[in-house]
Amino acid sequence: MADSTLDSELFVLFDFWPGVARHVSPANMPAAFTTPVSTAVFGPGEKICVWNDGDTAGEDGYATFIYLLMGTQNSAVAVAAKTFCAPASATTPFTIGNNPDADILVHTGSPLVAVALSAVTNAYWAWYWCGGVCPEAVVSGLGGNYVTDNTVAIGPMSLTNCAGDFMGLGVTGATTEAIIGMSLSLDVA
Amino acid sequence: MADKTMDSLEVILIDNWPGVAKLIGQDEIPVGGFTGSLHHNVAAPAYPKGEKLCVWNPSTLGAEGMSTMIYLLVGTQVSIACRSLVTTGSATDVYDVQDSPDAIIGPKDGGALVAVAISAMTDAYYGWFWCGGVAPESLIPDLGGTYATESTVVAGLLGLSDLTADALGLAAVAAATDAIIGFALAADDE
Repeated sequence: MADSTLDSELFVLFDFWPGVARHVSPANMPAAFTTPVSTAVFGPGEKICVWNDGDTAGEDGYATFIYLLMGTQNSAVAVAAKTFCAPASATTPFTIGNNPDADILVHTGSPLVAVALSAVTNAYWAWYWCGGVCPEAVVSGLGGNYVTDNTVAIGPMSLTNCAGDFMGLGVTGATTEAIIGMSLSLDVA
Repeated sequence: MADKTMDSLEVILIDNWPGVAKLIGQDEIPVGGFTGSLHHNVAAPAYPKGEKLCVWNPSTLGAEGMSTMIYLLVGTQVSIACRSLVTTGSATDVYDVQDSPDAIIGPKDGGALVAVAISAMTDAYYGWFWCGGVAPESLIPDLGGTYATESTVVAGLLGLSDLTADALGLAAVAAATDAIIGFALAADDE
């Protein structure tokens, strides 16, 4: 089945990553928030929660970001803004990748999901969107279409391996698949 | 199958709503309590939509433990009262909630975003709802008592259901597509 898309304003993500996010005001976001770095300046897995102002972009609501390390990304489909990632290391959950064929967790049904804010270099640290509404007012590049496997209905969603061989959103299909978000709409057929 | 009920002491809600609740002390509860007229069931929001507060429920009433409250907007309701279950009713605003299983945009069975009204509400008004943890009966005594179920509840995972009475209620999680919204400590009553 051909892949499809779902608009950023039509779903929310559930955050199952370890720990609790700290609240940050939009005016006090970390400097150079969307620029990956080779040396971590925050703790692995640190999370912050910020209000997304719908008057600026997207929907009103809270969004959660997490600080993660990019492992070896999919050479065929490079990480960019809106790319879904999942843990890719057997020794730490905070090293991630975007290759559904290489990640250590099942590609379909992983409960730990993060969305890239920008292109990221291998072995670089960066913030990722991992919970709540899409923070388009904070990171404008997150607005727009997200890939799905053309099965999304209104209701719970899971991570899936799309026909294009990248990770995307799909309807929850088995008891072994974690529900990682809630869709407010069907994907675009 | 006829609907049933279960007691508030037997229900723990799991909070799937966006964001992280702010932990507050008893002296930081909104003025007049969560049902205070300055901020609850009001036309103009006194808090941001989706604001969440986590507070301790003392043992005065109900189970001791943490409870999470969320600030939501009521859309067009059927008849919201204290202990009514509500869920997202808008395709463009996750914080716009309704109590009608026939009007909500999410699945009637298995919806992920669920909250419990703490009083009657007016359409298009903002107010506080219980969305996580133990029932905060010490803070809102009317939350104590029975909650509607579809008669499938056993001790274990809880989901959302469209009851025979055509209202939203609690049920056992029955399918992979059913979100887990809580935990039951006992089966529902006969």
